[in-house]
Amino acid sequence: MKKRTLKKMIFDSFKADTPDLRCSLMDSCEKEPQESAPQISMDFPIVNRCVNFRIVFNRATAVIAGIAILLFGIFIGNYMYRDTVTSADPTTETVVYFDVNPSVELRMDEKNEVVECLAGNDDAKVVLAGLKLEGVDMNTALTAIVGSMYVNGYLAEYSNSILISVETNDNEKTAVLLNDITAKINTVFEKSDMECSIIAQSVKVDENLKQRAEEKGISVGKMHFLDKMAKGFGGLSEDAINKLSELSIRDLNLIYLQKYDGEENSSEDLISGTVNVAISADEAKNAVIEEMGKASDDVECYRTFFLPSRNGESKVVYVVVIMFYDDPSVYKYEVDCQTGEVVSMHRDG
Amino acid sequence: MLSVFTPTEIKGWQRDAWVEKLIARMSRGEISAMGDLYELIGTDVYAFALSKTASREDSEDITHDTFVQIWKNASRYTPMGKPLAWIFTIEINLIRKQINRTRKSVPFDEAIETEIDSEDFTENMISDDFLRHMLNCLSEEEREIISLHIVSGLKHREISKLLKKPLSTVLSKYSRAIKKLQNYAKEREESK
Repeated sequence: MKKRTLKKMIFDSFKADTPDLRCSLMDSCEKEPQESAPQISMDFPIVNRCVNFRIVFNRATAVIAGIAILLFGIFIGNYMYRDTVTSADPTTETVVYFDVNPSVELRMDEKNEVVECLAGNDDAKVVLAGLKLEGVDMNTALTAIVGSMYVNGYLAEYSNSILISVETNDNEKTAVLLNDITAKINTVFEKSDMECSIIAQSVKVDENLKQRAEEKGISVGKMHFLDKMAKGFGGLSEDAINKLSELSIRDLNLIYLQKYDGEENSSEDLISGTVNVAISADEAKNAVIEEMGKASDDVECYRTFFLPSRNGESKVVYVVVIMFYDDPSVYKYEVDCQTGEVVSMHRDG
Repeated sequence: MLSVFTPTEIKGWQRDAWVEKLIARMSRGEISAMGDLYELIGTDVYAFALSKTASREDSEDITHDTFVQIWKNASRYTPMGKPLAWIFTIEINLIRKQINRTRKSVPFDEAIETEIDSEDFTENMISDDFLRHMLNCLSEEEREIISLHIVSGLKHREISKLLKKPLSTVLSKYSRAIKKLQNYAKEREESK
């Protein structure tokens, strides 16, 4: 019997046996006095770890020019290289998947030189247009791809997360590559004063993963990451996974990082850097307070977290859950992460 | 009721956020929040009690008392994003008191006899075959780990911290329990 089926059986058995004690509990609570407590602040911790706001670019323009020259050089250099070198067909030893929202697949040989470079979607075709990366070493290819994504606007101030997925048969090599690739990309970004968030993961690709990725129109790296998110959140419905698959890596990163807020990162992933958001959690909360015509002192408790928008748009929003003194209702607002606009509201109670 | 997410849909940290919200409402004296909280985590609390006591009657009492304690102490809870750890700590203390009470009231000889016959003493309590077998064939440690991980969704590391057991023990006992239950489920399928 599959573990998932067994787990469901266990859960269902306990659930079916659980008595309904609601009525007796309500009766008991009416009779039991509550313990009075010292006035402890009920502010929930703000869930926005690893978030940076409003990065200002100082030297980006100079770096863009430098990268553009490099890309041109690669294009010309590689053209000349391919004219002079003859070799037998190399075997793919390693595959590296880049996801920002363009999805690029780099296949490399045992010398970490590019054998083949594939575009996983239309945006990636724009990124790779004019680039000839076959025969180029890994570091140069990385710089070129990151640079092209930057030049074409796919990597920007509020779209600064990259998912790197490495597939090899050698676990040690995978670990080394993940570190090397992350370090290389960080070096490229450091020169531009731009913050970048990188998630680096190893992936084992099988037919099931490939098929599911194809059905959703995403890379196997992104599909593998979604599977881990689902597992980390205790399981997600297929609808929820489909919704998440439409989000950019930056938005997925914002949701994923919440899991580790205030606790040790027990994931095997390498997560580095900061994720940029235009509006802070505090600003989102203040937008809600203003929308309701209240003051900050009226707030009893609140909590903010990132979730996919429920308005049909493929992006995350702040969800602000807030309660006010002298009002028993719990209010739940969606606030746009970029503009701070209050998008929707629901009241509970 | 619970607005955008219903209790059956939300899991993990989202559920924790809602539990904390309900505790906050209870701290303000809202009894209606008790019903919502029970709907959200009643099975978690009951399953843990049942895994510890293997007695339906005792588990009902412990579950009831746990929620009453949550109600009484709601204003003392400091939101840290892990409300279930707080709730299970309350429950563990209540279970210990219950066990001590039972030990004191039952004569020593009778207690021994109950232990020897423990394999069958759930016979008349639990109607579900699978659940009854689970309570009989797993040790108390295995049962509590199964309930905390599968019913409440706690990670093994969290279970290790809550039960004050080494992580390796938690992992190995969980693995053994799952194997036992898989074997039983397979035998049951084959005998049909």
